[in-house]
Order: sequence, then C-alpha cells, then structure tokens
Amino acid sequence: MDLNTITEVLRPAEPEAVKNWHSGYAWLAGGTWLFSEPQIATHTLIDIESFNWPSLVASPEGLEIAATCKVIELDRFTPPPEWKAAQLFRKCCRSFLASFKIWNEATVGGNIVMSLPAGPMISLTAALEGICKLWPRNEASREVPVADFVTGNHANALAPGELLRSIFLPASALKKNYAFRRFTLTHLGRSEALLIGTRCPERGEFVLTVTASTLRPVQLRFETVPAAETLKNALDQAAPFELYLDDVHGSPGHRQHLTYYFAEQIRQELSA
Amino acid sequence: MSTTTEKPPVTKSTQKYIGRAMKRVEDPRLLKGVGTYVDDVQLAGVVHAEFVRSPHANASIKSINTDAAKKLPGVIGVFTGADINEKAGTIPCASPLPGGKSPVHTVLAGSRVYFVGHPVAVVVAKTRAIARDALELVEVDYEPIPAVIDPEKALEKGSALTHPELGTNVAFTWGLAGGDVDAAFKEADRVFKLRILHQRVTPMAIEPRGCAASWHSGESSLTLWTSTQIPHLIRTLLPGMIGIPENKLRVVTPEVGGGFGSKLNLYSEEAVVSHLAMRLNRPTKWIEGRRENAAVTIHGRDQIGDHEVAIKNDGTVLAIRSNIIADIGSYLQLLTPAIPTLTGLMIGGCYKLKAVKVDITGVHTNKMSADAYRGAGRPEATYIIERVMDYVADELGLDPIEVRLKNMPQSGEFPFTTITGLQYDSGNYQAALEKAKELAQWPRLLKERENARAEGRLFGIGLSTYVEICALGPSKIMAAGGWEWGCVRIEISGKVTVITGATPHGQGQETSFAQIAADRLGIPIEDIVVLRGDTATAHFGRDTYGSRATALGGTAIAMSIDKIIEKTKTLAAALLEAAPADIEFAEGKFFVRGSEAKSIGWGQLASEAYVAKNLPPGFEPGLEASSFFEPPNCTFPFGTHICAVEVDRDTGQVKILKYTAVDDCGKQVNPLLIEGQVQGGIAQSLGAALMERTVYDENGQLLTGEFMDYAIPRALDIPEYALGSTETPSPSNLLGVKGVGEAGTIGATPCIGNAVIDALSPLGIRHVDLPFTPERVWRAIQEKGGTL
Repeated sequence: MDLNTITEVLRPAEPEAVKNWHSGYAWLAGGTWLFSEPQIATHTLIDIESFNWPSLVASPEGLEIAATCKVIELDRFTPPPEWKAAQLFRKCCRSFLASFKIWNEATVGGNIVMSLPAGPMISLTAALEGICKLWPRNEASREVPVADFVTGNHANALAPGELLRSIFLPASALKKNYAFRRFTLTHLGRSEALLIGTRCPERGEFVLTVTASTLRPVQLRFETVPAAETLKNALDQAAPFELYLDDVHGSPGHRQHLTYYFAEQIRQELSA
Repeated sequence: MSTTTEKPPVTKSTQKYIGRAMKRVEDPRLLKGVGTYVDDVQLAGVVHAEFVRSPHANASIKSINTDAAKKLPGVIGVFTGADINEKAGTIPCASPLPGGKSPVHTVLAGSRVYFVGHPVAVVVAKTRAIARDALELVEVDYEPIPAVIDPEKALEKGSALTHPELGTNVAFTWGLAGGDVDAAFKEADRVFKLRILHQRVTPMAIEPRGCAASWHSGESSLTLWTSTQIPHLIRTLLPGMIGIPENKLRVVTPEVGGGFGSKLNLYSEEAVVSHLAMRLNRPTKWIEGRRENAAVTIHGRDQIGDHEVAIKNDGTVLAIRSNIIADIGSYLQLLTPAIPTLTGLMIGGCYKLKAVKVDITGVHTNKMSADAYRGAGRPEATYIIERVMDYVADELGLDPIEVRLKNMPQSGEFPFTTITGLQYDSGNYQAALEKAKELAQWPRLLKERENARAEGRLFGIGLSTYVEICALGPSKIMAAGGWEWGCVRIEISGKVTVITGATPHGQGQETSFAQIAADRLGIPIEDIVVLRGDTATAHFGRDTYGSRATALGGTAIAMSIDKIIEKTKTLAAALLEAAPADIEFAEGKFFVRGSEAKSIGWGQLASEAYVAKNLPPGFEPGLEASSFFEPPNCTFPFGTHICAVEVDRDTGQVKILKYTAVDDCGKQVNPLLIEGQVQGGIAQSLGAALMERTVYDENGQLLTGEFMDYAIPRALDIPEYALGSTETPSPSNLLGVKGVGEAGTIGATPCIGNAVIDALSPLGIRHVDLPFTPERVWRAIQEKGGTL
C-alpha cells in the first residue's frame, strides 16, 4: 500500500552517511512488510539496498548472509555438500505464509528484524547458530547470536537506528545433522510451531531451537542428546507457559504440547 | 488432489450437447487475463472513493472534522453521513420477519458506529492513492462503548444493547411447528440433547467487491458497474434509494471473481458511489481492499442450536425440538433473517420425521451482518440432522447407514411432503446412498477402519445423506419474484443470441445455456452467443443465487426457443407451400411431415423473417422470443457423501484420506461443470469443517481480517475425490434440472464431522465443536485422557 506519511526516501551510498538517526526514520530493504500496512510513525525511508552488499558469501568458515539477501536467493543457494544442515534453507524459505512474489522481494534480514514468533528466517538462523552483525549509528559494530537477538513478539536487540548488516552461519553448524518439525493449520499456513534440532556428528552436541510456538526463540544446548525427561525439564525451565504465544493460530496450551511432542521426536531422530 | 469420476466424460461429436462434458467457453478469456472485472472498467475522468471506517465495534461519534482532508490537493470532496444519508436511502432487507426489530440502516454511520469497518465518511479524490491519503486526515472523535459480542449473553436480562433505541438485542424470532411434537416425544423410547455450533465464516471471494458509477447528465441516467450476483435486484432496489427512476438506471455486472452469496446484497458502497457519481457529475469508482472485504462484506453461518431429539429404539427418529440463536451482527442485510429460517425448514433433511418444532432468535451484536453464504442455512440444517443420525446410531449401537435408510422416504413416495411443509419434488435417496457406498468401496473402508483401530490409530468413516432446497423459487415465497427470464434471438444470419436474466458469474452458464439452446435449435454450439450481466441487454432477471440459474434461467431459454420454433413453422409452411400443421422441426430443419429431404434451415428462415419479403399474412417480422419462467416449486437436489479420515492423536490434526460424493442434481446439462461445482463446494465445506472461523475478540475487533489469519484450504489441503452421480429429473421444470452450486458445501461438512467423531469415538468422544481444528480435536482427546 501507499505509505502516505513518507515524505522522503534516502538512498545513501554507505550506512555511515546516516549520521543522525531521528524518530520517524526506518530502514527499507525488501519492504514486503513495511508496505503492507500503514506506518503512521514513519516519515523517512532509508533504502539499504543502495549499499549493494553481496547477498551470500560462502567461505570455509561459513556463510555470511547479507541482511538484504532476498529469500529467493537463499532458497536457490547451492551449498557445499558437507553443509548438510543447509537443506534447512529451503525448508525454512517454504515456511513463509507467502507466495513466490514475496520470496522474490522479502529479505532475510527483514524477516529477522520483524522479530515475529513465526519468522522462518529466525528459525533457520537461530537453529544454525547464526550471529547477527549489528551496526549501531556512530559506534563500533557488535555481534549478537540470533537466538538472543529476538527478545519477544515484535521485539529485538536493535537500538534506534542500529542496522542489521548480516547474519553469519558458522560452517560448524552447517555441517551438523538436523531434524525439522513444523506444524500449521493449513499447508503453507502460518507456523504454529517450528522446531529444529541439530547434532554435531563429531562431538555429539545437541541443540534444540524452538520458534513460532514461543514469543521468542528458545534454544537448548546439550553436550549430547539428552534423555527425554531431561529435555522436557529443560524446556520447562527455558520456556515457561507464559512464553507460549496465544493467537488465532493456536493457544499456549496446544503450542506447548506441540513443542514437547516435536522436541521429543527430534530428540529421537537425532539419537539414531 | 486428484479426482476420479465415475465414468469418463463423453465428448463424441455426434452426441447431443446436453449431457456432454464441455469445457467452458468463458475460460479462455479468463485464463488469458483479458476478462473485464469492475476494476478493469476504464471511465474517462473517473474519480476514486475510499471510505473512512470505524476502528471501534461500538462507539458514539462526537465529531467528524473533514477540513484537513478536503484541503489535500487532489481531493474532490469528503462526505459524512450528515451529507449523504438523506439522499442515498437506507440499505434494504428483502426478508423482514413479522414483529422484527431492527435499526434503520443508513449508508454511512450517523451518530454511532456499530461494527468495526462501519463506514463513517467517504473521500473522493482524483486518484485512489490521494483518496487513501485523505482518509488519514479525516478526524473522527469516537467515544467507545463496550461491545456486544456474545449472542447468548446478549439475550440475558440487563445485557448491554447493540442498538439501544430498539430496547432489545432480539432482532426477530421465528417459529416453525409441524406435527404433534409433544405426542412424538411421549412416544419416544429415548430422548437426547445435542448442542451444535456453526461458527461464523468469511466468504473471502478472491475478487473483493467493487463498483463504478457514471452519471449521464444529458439523459439523466446512471450506469453502475458492480461486482455482484444480482444486477437486476439492484436495479429494482437502488433507484428508490438514490432518487432516479428505474428506467434511468443500468446495472452492469462484468466478470465476477467469486460471490458465494457474499455478493447477493445491495451494499452501502454501491449506493454511495452511485449517489456521488450523480452528485459530482463525475464517474466514480470504489474497489474494496482485502481487509475491507473481510470486515465489511457479509459473513455466513453463526448459529448456536440446542436440539432435543425423540427416537425409538429401532432407530426411528420421531421428532426434533430446536432452539437456535442466530448471531446476525449489527444490521439486517438483504436476506439476513431468511437464512436461519432455511435452517428451520430443512432441519428434517431427507427423513420422515413425525414432528418438528424450531424456534429461532436472531440477535444483534456489534459485528458485520451475517447473510447468505454458499448453502445459506441448509449446511447448518444438514449438519444438525446428519449429526443426529450418527448420534442415534451411536446411542443405539446401530449402523449409521441403517438408521438413515430406516428414516428415508422411498422413491415411490415422491413428491414427498415434509413435516416442515415443503414438497420435495423427486428423489431416490437410497440409490444415491448405494452408489456412494459402491464408489467408496464401503466394505473395504470398514476393513481399513477395523485394521487401523486394531493398531490404535484413530480412523473414522463419515457419511451424510443430504437434501437441499434449490432453484429459488416460486414467486409466492420470494420477496421480489422467484421467476427467471430468458430471451432468444435468431439473428438475420442464422446465428443465435441467447440472453439470460440469471446473471451467471462464474458458474459456466455461458456454456451450459448454449448447450441447451444448441440442442433445442439443432445448431452447432459455436453459432450461439450467451449474453448476461447487463440490465440494458437482459431486460429482466432475478439473478443467480440458491442454485437457481440453470433450473430457472435455462428453462426460460428453452421456453423461448419453443416459441420461436412454433412461430417459424408458420413461415416454413409458407415457404414450403404447406399447412403449418404439417410442418415438423427436427435437428435444426423444418420440413413437411413425410418429406424430410426438402427442408429449410434457420439460416434461410431467419433471412426471410427479417428481410420480410415473403412473409405469410399476419407473420410478424423477426425471430425473437422471450419468456418468464415461473416455477411451480423449488427443486430438491440430494446425494450422499462419504469420507475416511485419520486423526493424529498427538497433534489433533485431521487428515482426509478419501472423499466420495454422489450428487443428484437432476438432469445434467454439463457434467464437467457439475463436477467443478461439487469439487469447489467440497473444498469450501472442508474449510468450514476443519479450519475456517471468523474471530472477533471481546472488544469486537476482527482478528481474522486477512488470509494471514483466516485459514482457507489450499490445493494441498484438498483430498482425493471420487465423484459420481445419480440422475433423478425434477418435475418442476421442463429440463428436469435441479441445481448443484451448493451441493458440496451442504454435503461435506457433516460428512467430515461425522468421520472425525467416528475416529474419536473409541476414546468416548461424542462431540466436538466446529471447526475441527487440531487444537479442538487435541483438547477433546486430552479431556478423555488420550488413551483407548
């Protein structure tokens, strides 16, 4: 839709050109959400696509995904064969309640900074132990794990004006075995629960990432695959009932149940 | 999704057109994207309207300040209820019930708003974007008032009132009694109670509504293009609202991207846009947004019913006593009160009950109005009676099929008069049931269930044997006439133009009406053009709803052709130098009885009829006839649906494994179109059964206002279909057709519901409220301990 409060669109060559951050500014990338509803508090858009960041940079250390990387680019990325968990890219890209038109424009960074519980790019990058590179205004850059970046429903660690530059997925995570579980009311519908488990083939480390069912990602780490009871107890500790989302797609009770259920399935799958 | 049809469509070129599975002539233009929808209508100098809508479900309006909006460059005008309401009339209800209490429904809000989305003001601007910008500049000072949301609480003493001036939230009450209910309950061996909720659903047509109006000042006439099912009814109703004569209004309905009853209405926006076009002397257009569509286009269903059922131990259902609360929302739309009455009339389904008593209370709440949505009252009735049948079987330990067979009328009993006073035209319910069993491989399904249950799986089989009321209807039961009109013209070239007042809008009747005409005239279908959707062309019509178009509109066309044939015999007789009584007509040729080799075809006769040089005395030039078909009765299609489901006990998710439908819509004109209607209907019914629900929060905010939150089935959610049919002609029209537009939506929800409950029955679960979302099913399992 037209954003009738916008009076200016800036296209700086580099982020440093935006020295002073004002209330009413908003970074613009794909814009699929930004243009989907009125933004009454926003008067200036700063288009970060003008920075021309390379979308995907693969190296032996891992994969750097620019915040401006289109979902479709990630979906089509061909990973090295040893990055087994990169198969999650496609699964998570297809976990959007969105058409291919959205995939063509929406960005990975946009989905993460939206910080909705069912953001599938959050599920993906949190599960693959992604690190957000953040560029504050007029300060040195900082790094925050994706699992910590999203702090609640539509809330995150960004300070005013701070920019998500990229998400780095370490090769060590990409080489892990994984298990994926997602629950929706309809095929291609919004996720009621999306859980991803990974296990390091060498060290046996087990990581479970819970998204969509909870207000923010919940990540549990174990040195090895835990016993069922241990996992459930850890979930109870990390995700109290109040942390489960309540909306038309599911109640906290059902989401908690699904979380337990899929967590155990993942535990069993990765135990094999 | 895949579909297995009972037998492959026959398309031999020698076959008559009626009965052939023909692709729609409409499809190429739609598939190529060259069809014309309302938003495609280009009008020179058009201006755009957008509506300021209430964000509150219930609030008084203290003030409206339009100054800033009016000053925005490009804005042509901003109008409030105070500016327009007295000049644009009030929204009509065609089905008010005696004693009903409902508010005056002005086109824009007056001093109060009654639902989220209630139009408060309208902005007109040079572009749509400017109009939308200007919406933000209209300052409305609201004073929110607690909303009335729960229809049952709304009936409690001391409840807040949706419309305080009415002194009650009861919009109407309606009762129906047939047979001696008290005696039937005394006769009963058992009595049980069922409480059934039909959730509110949103039609969500892919093309939202929209309209454009152009005032022709020289002629003082108005043309309204609108995405509607009912251009003729609008032409009847709108003139009185906006103050022009009926014969100065032309209503055009171009392509319509889905109606399902939601466009069977005259809405505020149509009246406002028409008024503005006249007032501003500028063509004016409004196109509804998706969120607007979800909020301010009518909703469907939303009934709560408490049912008491009297039965004998042999499975005979004696009587039903029902109290139904219908949450009708804030205002009456065109057919709002009529919808729940259809539930009452059809509550006996295809069974011989001794007595029925139905009491319906329509309740005003601070929501969008409920009105006709595909099936309109009959899905609710069918769900009730079909749940009752399964409940009876469960209660008595009987086979659900045997219970149904025990209570059905035999085919020889038709026309069958129901206990609610309807006369079912024709039927053979047992045949449809038997065929569905065969197609579904019933014994195999039973075996599969047995095996699944032995493995601890929740496998269920459900069926519904439904009957519905279609081809609405005789004029005596319809507020604005229940006839339909058609016109046929043999052009001078011999080509044929068919004009229908039935206004098909996606059903494919440009094809099926051409099939009817081609067979009756004995000409190739390619020579026929079917016109519809323009009151300047189709002079009369009562339009399409209630699966009426083919039964009534098709019959009107057939009648017109018969008139032309009779007239043409006189001309043919003159040309063949014979007596008119000796002329016969067959396969498009007129000939003297016994001399078929010497015949005359339509081409020569049409030329003679229009050139008019050799006409017999008294022969009026031209070959055109029109007809009004007044049906003697409604039609009553029926069928049996069977499905198998499996419930995931861990998540509550229902998976439909196989779906079988045998529908009897009378004589079939185009089996391919029928299959499409059944498929689409089942898909919508599946949505209502498993996922769709319109949710308002306690403040009256709509939580399901877009596809992100309102779940509808996608292709991947649709199961494998096995479709079949029986063909029991209707005696109510000369074509013998009944109608099929709503069959799927009526038969499928109870079928799926019964299957889900059957799947859960080993856990002792006998009831779950619609829709069967994973969460509801899971909760039901949890409440029973989740174990076998």
